[in-house]
Amino acid sequence: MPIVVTLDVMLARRKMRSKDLAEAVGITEANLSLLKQGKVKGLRFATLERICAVLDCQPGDLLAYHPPAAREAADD
Amino acid sequence: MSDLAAIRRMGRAMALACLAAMIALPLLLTGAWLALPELKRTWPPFAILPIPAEPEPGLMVAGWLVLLLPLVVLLWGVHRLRRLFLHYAQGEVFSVDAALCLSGFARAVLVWALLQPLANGAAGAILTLGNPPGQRALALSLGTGELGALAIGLVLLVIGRVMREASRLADENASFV
Repeated sequence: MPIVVTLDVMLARRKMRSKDLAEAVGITEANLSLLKQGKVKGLRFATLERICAVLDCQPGDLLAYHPPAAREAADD
Repeated sequence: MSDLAAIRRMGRAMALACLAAMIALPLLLTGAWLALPELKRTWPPFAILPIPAEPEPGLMVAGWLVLLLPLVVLLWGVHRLRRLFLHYAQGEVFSVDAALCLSGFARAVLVWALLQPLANGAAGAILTLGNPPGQRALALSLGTGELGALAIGLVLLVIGRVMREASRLADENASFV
C-alpha cells in the first residue's frame, strides 16, 4: 500500500514502548502492532488524535505516502 | 441495561423456546393425528370431514408419514432459528453465520407454506382410501396461515440478505483501529 505507517519511527524518537503507547491510547497491543505493520484497513480519527496527543506529534509524522513508482525505484 | 445485554438475554430465552418447539411440534402433530377420529365424533367442526370413524391403522401411519414431510422442513427451520438465537446469546449480532441462519429459516418457512397444504390434502386423501368408491376425497386448501407464512418467509429472506451485507460492513469496521 502506498500509505506507510511510520509510527515505529515516532516511538523510537520519543523513546516510548509500544505497550505504553497502547495503554495510553486505549487500544490493544495486538491492534497497535497491526497498525505499525500497516496491516489495518483504516485508522479512526479518534485513535489518530489520541496517538498524536500521547506522542506530541502531527498526523503527518505518523503517515507517509510512497507512490508505487517511487517505491519500485527504491526497491531496485 | 445496554441493547447488547438485552439481545443476549432474549437470545438465550428464544433459543430455549426454539428447543421446546422442536420437541413439542412432533408430539403435537402425532397427538392431533391420533385424536382426529375422536375429534370427528365429538367436535362439530370436524364432523363434516369425510374420514371414516375408525380409519385403518396402516392408513393412519401413512397419513402421519405424509404430514411429517412439512414438519421436518419446519423443524429444520426452527433448528436454524435456534442457532441464530444462540449467536445472539453470545453477542454475535452481525456474524455471517447468523445471517445465513436467518436466510435458512426464511427458506424453511417458504417451503413449509407450500408443502403444508399439499400434505394436508394428501393425508386426508389417504385416510379416505378405505372408504367405498364415491366417498373418497381429496381437498386442497390454502389458508391465511400459509399465506401469512409465505409473506413472512419472503420478508425474512430479504432481511437475511440485508444482514449478510451488515455482517460484511461489521467485519470491515472491526478491521479499523
